[in-house]
Amino acid sequence: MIEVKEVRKSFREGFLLERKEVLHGISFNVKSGAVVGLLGPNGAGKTTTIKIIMGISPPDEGEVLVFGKKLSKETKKAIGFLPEAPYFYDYLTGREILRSFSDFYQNLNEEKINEVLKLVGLKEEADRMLRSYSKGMLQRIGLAQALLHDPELLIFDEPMSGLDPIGRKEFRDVITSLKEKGKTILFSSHILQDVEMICDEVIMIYRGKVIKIGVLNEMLKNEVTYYEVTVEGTGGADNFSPLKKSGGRFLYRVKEGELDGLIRSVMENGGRIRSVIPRSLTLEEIFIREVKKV
Amino acid sequence: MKGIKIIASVTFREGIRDRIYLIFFFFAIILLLFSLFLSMLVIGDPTKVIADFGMGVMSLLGILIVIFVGGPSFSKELQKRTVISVLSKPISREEFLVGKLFGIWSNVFVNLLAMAVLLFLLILAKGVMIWGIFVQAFLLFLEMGILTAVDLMFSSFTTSFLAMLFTLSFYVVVHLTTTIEKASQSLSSPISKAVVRYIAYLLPNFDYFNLKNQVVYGLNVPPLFYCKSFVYFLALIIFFTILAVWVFKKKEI
Repeated sequence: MIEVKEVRKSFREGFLLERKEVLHGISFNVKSGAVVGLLGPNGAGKTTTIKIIMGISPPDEGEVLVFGKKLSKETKKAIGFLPEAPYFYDYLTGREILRSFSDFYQNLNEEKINEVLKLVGLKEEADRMLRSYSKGMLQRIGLAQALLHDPELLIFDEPMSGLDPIGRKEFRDVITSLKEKGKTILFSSHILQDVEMICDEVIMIYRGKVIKIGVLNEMLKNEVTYYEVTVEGTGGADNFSPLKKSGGRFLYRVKEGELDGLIRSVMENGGRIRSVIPRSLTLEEIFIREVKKV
Repeated sequence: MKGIKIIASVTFREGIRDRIYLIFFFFAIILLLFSLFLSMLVIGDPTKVIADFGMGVMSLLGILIVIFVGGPSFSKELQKRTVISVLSKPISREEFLVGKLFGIWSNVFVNLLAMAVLLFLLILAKGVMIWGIFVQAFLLFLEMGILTAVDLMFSSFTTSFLAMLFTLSFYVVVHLTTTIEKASQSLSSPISKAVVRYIAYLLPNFDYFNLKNQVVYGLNVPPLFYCKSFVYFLALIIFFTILAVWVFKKKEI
């Protein structure tokens, strides 16, 4: 659905307007129906990448295809975009801005506007001027304008940065419901817990380079670092010291190569294995490890 | 075209509800009413004093709206990144900028029309009808269109404050073109005379939109003047809009 091919981008900076490259030939694909997280610390190039995909900023080199084509007004009609910290017109109401934006598309009526306002929880505040909206409310109206025309592809830039915990949960629920409807979603974030909860795939960007791409579940599954083994009814296993003791239960933490030895030792001592849980790295740990490699 | 219409409509509504716009509007009404009082203090035909002063107020308010309402609304969209949300819609940068131009220009139109009607009625209350006020208001409207394009061009590459300053300087300079041209004749050195004259030719001349004296003194204006003014307006607004679009397209948002 989105193909980013060898994209380079630089900006002029400082008094002498020297060129500074912020994207060093990044490439990735976003498949149809996937929820993809674009991860990276502040200044990694996430927003620049998204602006290039949206045609707001032209790349110096490389190419971006959306729906297999170069971005045009027609392709834009099938994209919903929420920028970082959205800001709209102070003296227009939430409803007015949605009405105005709905004119860009066909067959959008008041019913659709009300539906979207309800979805983002702004129905009561829809007739207030936007200058009286809080940061979270502006984020919601931003989401409403992105969803208004029921686009196939949704691109969100740091969608949860201005939201409180309840707002973030609601936003995650919206993304989940969009995913169930088969929408493709690309969103950038530096809040890794949110990404871990809702993404199918992740693209890690650091200093303008893609450092890792993968399916989130596989990435986490393949990254088993140790096993937690709960043992009952024995004094424990020889040569292994438990992490915790509670009543007749022992909790051991062992590496993959030690697992067989531990189980054998427990059996020999007449103990019972209650559970063996593989523990993998969190997304945050994987991300930090990848960053350190650079 | 649809994109231009949407942006023009949003800009117009945003502008007309802006507190500064409303303050300017009431300020203009107070100044126009003040012209009644002024006409009592000055020796001469009171209707001429009201018309002269009133048209001055119209010019002042036009430029204030362009500089303090129109330009900043565009700069704010760039600064607060509203433009990013808008440009993600099926609209080009050209359409966005032209939409802004029409939106701001519509704000000026409403203001000028309201002031022209009020001024006309004030003079009518003295028993005189000066239809020329509407002609001058229309010429001012054309002038403000050009100024809006110039302001958008400056706002595309610099800060809101500097854009205000540059636009104001432009306004002052283009109103001095005829004076500069006349001043060149009094220079003794042929080189300086040629340079100053050349500069005067290069600068736009906003005297094409000034009929204040003719309106106040009821002088006849040849129809050719209106044709020239309109062609001149078209040439300038097209030139400055293309320039503004070019600058805006180059801008990294």
